[in-house]
Amino acid sequence: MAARIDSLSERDGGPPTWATSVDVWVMLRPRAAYEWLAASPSRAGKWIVLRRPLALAFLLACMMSLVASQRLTLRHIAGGTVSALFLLLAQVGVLWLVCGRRRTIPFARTVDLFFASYGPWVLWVLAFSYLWAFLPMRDALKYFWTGSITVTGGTVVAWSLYLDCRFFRGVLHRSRAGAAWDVARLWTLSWCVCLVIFGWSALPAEVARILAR
Amino acid sequence: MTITAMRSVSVALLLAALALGTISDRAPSNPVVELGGYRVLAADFHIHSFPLSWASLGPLDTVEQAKREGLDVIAMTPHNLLWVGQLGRRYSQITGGPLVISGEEIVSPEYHLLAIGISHTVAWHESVGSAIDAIHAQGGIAIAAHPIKAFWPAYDADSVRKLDGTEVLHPLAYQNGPGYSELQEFYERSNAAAIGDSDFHGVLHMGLCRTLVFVREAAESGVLEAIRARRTVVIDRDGKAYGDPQLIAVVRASPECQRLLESPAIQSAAKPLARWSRILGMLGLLGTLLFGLAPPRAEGSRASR
Repeated sequence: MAARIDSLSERDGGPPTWATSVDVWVMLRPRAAYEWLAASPSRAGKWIVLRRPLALAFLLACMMSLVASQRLTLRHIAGGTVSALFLLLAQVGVLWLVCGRRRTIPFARTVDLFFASYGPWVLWVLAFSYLWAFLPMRDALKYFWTGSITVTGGTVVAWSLYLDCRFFRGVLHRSRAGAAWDVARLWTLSWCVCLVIFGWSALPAEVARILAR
Repeated sequence: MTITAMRSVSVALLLAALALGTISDRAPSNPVVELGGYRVLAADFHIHSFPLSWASLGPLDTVEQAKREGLDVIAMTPHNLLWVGQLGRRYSQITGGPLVISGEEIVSPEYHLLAIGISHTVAWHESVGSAIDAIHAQGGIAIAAHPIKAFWPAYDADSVRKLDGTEVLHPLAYQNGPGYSELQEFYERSNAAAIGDSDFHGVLHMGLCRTLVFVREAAESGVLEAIRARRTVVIDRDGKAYGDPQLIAVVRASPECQRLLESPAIQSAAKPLARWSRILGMLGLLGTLLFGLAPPRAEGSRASR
């Protein structure tokens, strides 16, 4: 049976043998991955709307724990998962707004596939967690605040923007311009929500500082 | 080994890391240090919590972290609001945690100022002098937060004179750049208490930069009084000390005080259980990313149609 599935999926442009997970496949071959996944209805139920956001919140919480105490602890992970879920569930809401009624597959599946594009962000946060977890704190500080964040973060943003464009084209069948417009709306709304949840209380003063320049 | 087996191994590594990390995550009991008629407390007056202040740990977890860092006193200072700190203080009172003083970091376009021991927020659009007056009117203390050169124009001579404390040690001092010397220069201009703060947002070690406070009474009022009376000592990355010269001599001569300057969490992180927790945890996280929640073929059912 497995061999039959392999041969059928590869003939249909399905997952290559090196794609150990959907996340890896989406990161490296987003076009093929999203087109095939969108055309292959999942057997899973509506619960998958929470599957990837929950897994991602857990991963982020693990990284918060490594950064805060250089180990994985239950208390950091429980609290960190709740903090991260605020952001991720807000992003599910933003996706629902941006997708509107033009969805071609069930919303739960749309969310699941969208969150498969978080690989570059996870790799980036994992790399910085590694730095914090293994280097002496005073050495890690020197790396954390230099141009390394700008350069590596810029690469991750560009990579992630590309994956999101591919998501809108492959899964929601948007035109190139339509996908770009949807990604622009999604990122603007998502970052606004992020700013509110994480930094709302100082935002008016920061805006005033920027305007005063 | 199949991908399914690799996925199971990754999950097992994560669970093992979680078990080892949780077992090793214990709060040490801080020694009671009394010298020259004062109780010596390890303090960090610049701590942020989730939400709204660019921090990752929630207020309850922040208090738990303070216990593990061997801090006797923390000031929770969300940006331009108080309730997050008040929540942390309540939790600490219930659970017998460190002394938590509620406050805020007043984030203004021209300056950042810590307002500790206040009950109402102070408007961020006031001048720094007016903000300090408003803090004093509530019985609180005002500490210049990371006063690097960019913030100096906001402080005229009168407002510098009115400051109760200034951060002479901050994580900025550990980075490349002029932060270290600028913090020292501002401190030398002022007559304020020397303060070392970690400006904790969940990423740096809380208490990496800390202040020793010599109090008559181990309570909020005692800590605020000690800062007003300039009874603080800070030791920086190069071993240079700031504060009352007599108290500095006491700290230098006292092994107990030296112990208060060290973070038990950093020491605990070097032990085998914590080390294995992070090694297995990083491998497990990488494996979870590489091998995912399910193989790609299991996520599409075109073949079964």
